[in-house]
Amino acid sequence: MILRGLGDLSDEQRPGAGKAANDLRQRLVEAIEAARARLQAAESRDRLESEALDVTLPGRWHRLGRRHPLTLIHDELTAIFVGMGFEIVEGPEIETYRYNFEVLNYPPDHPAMDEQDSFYLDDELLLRTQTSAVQVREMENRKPPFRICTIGRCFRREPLSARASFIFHQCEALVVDKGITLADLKGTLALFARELFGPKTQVRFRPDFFPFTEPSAEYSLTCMFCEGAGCSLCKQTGWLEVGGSGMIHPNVLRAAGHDPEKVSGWAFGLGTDRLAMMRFGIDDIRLLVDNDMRFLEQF
Amino acid sequence: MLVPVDWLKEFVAFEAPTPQLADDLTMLGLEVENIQEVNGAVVLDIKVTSNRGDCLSVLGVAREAAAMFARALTVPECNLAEQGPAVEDLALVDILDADLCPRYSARVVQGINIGAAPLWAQTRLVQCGIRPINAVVDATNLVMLELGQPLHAFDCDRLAKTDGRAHIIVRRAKEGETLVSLDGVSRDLSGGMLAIADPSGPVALAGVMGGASSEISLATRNVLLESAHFDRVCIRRAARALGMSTEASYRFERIVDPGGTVRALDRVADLIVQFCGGAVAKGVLDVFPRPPKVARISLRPSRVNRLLGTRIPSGEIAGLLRRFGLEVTEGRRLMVTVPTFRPDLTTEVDLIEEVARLHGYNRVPETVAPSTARGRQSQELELQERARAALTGLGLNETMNYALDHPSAFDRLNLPADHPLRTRAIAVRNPKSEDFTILRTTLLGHLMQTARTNAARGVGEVRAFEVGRIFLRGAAGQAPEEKRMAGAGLRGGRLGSAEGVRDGAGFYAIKGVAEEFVRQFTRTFLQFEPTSHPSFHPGRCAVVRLDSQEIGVLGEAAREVLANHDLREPCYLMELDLEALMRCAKQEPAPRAMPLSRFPAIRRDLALVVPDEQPARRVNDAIRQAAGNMLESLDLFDVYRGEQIPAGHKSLAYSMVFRHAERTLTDSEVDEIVSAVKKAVVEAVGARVRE
Repeated sequence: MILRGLGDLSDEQRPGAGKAANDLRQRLVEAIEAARARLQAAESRDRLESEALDVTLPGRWHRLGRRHPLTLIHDELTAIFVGMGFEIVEGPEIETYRYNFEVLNYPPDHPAMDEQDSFYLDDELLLRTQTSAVQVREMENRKPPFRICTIGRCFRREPLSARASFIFHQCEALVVDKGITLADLKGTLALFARELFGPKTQVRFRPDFFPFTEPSAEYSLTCMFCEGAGCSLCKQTGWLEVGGSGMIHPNVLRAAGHDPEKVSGWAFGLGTDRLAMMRFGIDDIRLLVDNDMRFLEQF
Repeated sequence: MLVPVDWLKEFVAFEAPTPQLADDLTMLGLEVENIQEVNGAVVLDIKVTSNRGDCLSVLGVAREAAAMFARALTVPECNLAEQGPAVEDLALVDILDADLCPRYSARVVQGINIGAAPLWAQTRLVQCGIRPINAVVDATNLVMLELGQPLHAFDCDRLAKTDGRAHIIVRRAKEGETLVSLDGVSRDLSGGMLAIADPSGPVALAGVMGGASSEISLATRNVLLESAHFDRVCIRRAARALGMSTEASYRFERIVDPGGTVRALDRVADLIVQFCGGAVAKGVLDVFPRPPKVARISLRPSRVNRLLGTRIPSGEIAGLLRRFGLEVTEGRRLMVTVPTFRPDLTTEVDLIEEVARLHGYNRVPETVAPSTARGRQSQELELQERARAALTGLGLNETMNYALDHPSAFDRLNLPADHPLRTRAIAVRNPKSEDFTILRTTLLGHLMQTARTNAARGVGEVRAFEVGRIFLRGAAGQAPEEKRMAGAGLRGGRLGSAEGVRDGAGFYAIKGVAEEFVRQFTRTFLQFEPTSHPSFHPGRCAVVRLDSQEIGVLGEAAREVLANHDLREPCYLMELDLEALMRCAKQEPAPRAMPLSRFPAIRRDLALVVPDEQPARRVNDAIRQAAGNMLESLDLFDVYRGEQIPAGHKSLAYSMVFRHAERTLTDSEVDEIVSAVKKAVVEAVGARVRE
């Protein structure tokens, strides 16, 4: 109104009044803006406060399923062996007597077969008792050098108990090349052991017997729980017996079509159910096939 | 094998305390499983590997200890006084089947008085886990434990005679012959078994057990002692066929030294005279038709070091072998003569193992052979990994099951008697337990079992899968089939609500799982068609087809199947042929990016009332056909039955998105397309458009 009334003022009064009016207008506009901003900020704050959520309520999205504990162990072993340059392969669970025993240098009717009591399907076919059966199948189809690993299910006519089952799983690795030695076996096992149980893990060998290796050895690793100090898991010895190993017997190399004068190789294996039980503290092997969702969802 | 330490010390002198001895023997290859104390004596419990039957005796273990401590082995002297008649006047031995009995040695001791063995002998037997019986039997057991030669004592007077002499005939048994063994059991013998007989018939099962008719009793006065060598395979088969296992057969199946029969005979005769008095007849009847050839093995020291990765000098290698009692002639190669007590050493590599274990495995260095090999998983393993990743990603937990099952599993799955899943099941010829007699032909049984186990424990929600093998008998003359399958099972949670069950939420859930899962292997279009399968609800089961190839089945479990598993709430199952999916995946071409249109889309919704029996696919096909290329996507987002929809009909609500690749579509163009679509669905399925 003041600004509109400027026209009624004299020439001397107009500039002063005009300026004063504009100044006032300016101040009023600024004040209004400031108030608006304050009100908006307050409204925003109030709104945000009322929208606040209880962050401790459970989350809700699709759940991931869990891998079986044995699969986790197999995945770990696979990664270790792939990392060491091994090719991972599979073989049939229904095997022939030939691949399960004969080419593995078991003489017929030998007491060594007592520990390999087999489920027979007919005169020739049985459920494989060891993954070593896969090794010869693979060796027949390859020219050295090669490094293979297999992980698979085996079957033996054993009674079912908390500690042992008639169906179990093995992991086995083998290498064939010119000039492969027992020292190489020891070295690779040491690498493997450290990957599996930690950098301070040691390997200990003692002589044993397997028809398909010579020399043969049973190997132990530093107990993963007490790190060698002694505990109930390792029966106070500080060592855990993990599996068998040895230099591949010349008869086996020959049966697979290789010349033991030109190449040599080693193999080592382990039972993975037992490893899973030790790693995860599972005290009964039958839990691995129990399939209680509450058990499986722990992994 | 239980070995008292003092007995061991009679053969080899050493100072090591017992725990050290035990550890050293273990590191040499004779695993001492534990150290026992029996009546104040320390006894080692040794686990002998199946190739070292020579260690099933104190002598054998002593040889190992002597090698280990580099000490001399002393076999105690046996000064046997012989008196009385020549043994040839008292007994006679004929071996008719020399292939099964390469050596039979015998002595006769006359005029004994049997009582109990002296205390020291009984104590020793007990320390070794053998029950004392009488002085003669105990003497034979003592010598078996000491020298590793199983012995048998016959009451000489109860053996049938030929020309006044007790006549031992070693021959194959005849079919139908029987023998009452020492334990009182009547055994049926067969032609493959080796019998010790006299002219009246079998008097012992060779290498396994003696007969009751010539058993040593307290009345026995004259004893015929047998110390023999038998074919290990024959003994093992006979023992197994008759379900028997004795200390004798255990040793014969492994290793018994053919060169040690006479020494053992002398030792036992000596003990018997000590325990029972009497006189040892002069001489030994030693029928030895098949003396073993002297075994000589040539060993290259360079090969030893090449195989072990060591640098042991030739002289040292020879020294190590000699410590085991092997004769070594040094030269460019080592010529090793193997004694009869180590028939397990037959080739160069066997000797290399001896060198390695005595040198010490733990002294062999650790090296790593260089390799440029690239590690990887086989393609099949990668694809199975993909299967697991997909199913866990879809929220299912991985289960694992025994591949062996029982035929009642087929009953629980409601499979009729002639169903191929039943008829193609492979049976195990020699099951261990009644519960596990066949190999599984489907994963469905175990999925239901998982549902049942969890329900019984109050675990309401089951989201499970298994990637595993099934087994089917091959066609006549063909090998059995091993197939990898992917199975899944859903139960409970929101699928179990009354509404969910009515509307088949579980069915569409498992179908969703199947669709997403297959998509990980191939983009080929999946088809679902209603099918009947005895394990599934007749109206809620679909066969799954990939490019017209049948790859599996899914649906709601049949009511009978639920009842058979004590379940009330429904289960939803899927089983797909993983081999087929893996084959598809291997041939799947790499995806090609399609250019995306930059132009805006127009969305139109369409609600149709359609008779119930018209499958949605037919409506979809009609819409797509009529709409042509401009239809970018078609989404059936609702299926409604109820008010406003006449009985026997359902309302399908579609959302259609139209877009042109090169320009902006106009509303009128889209209107035209939608008209065409409406006409098409009315024609195809008699639909009524809801405006």
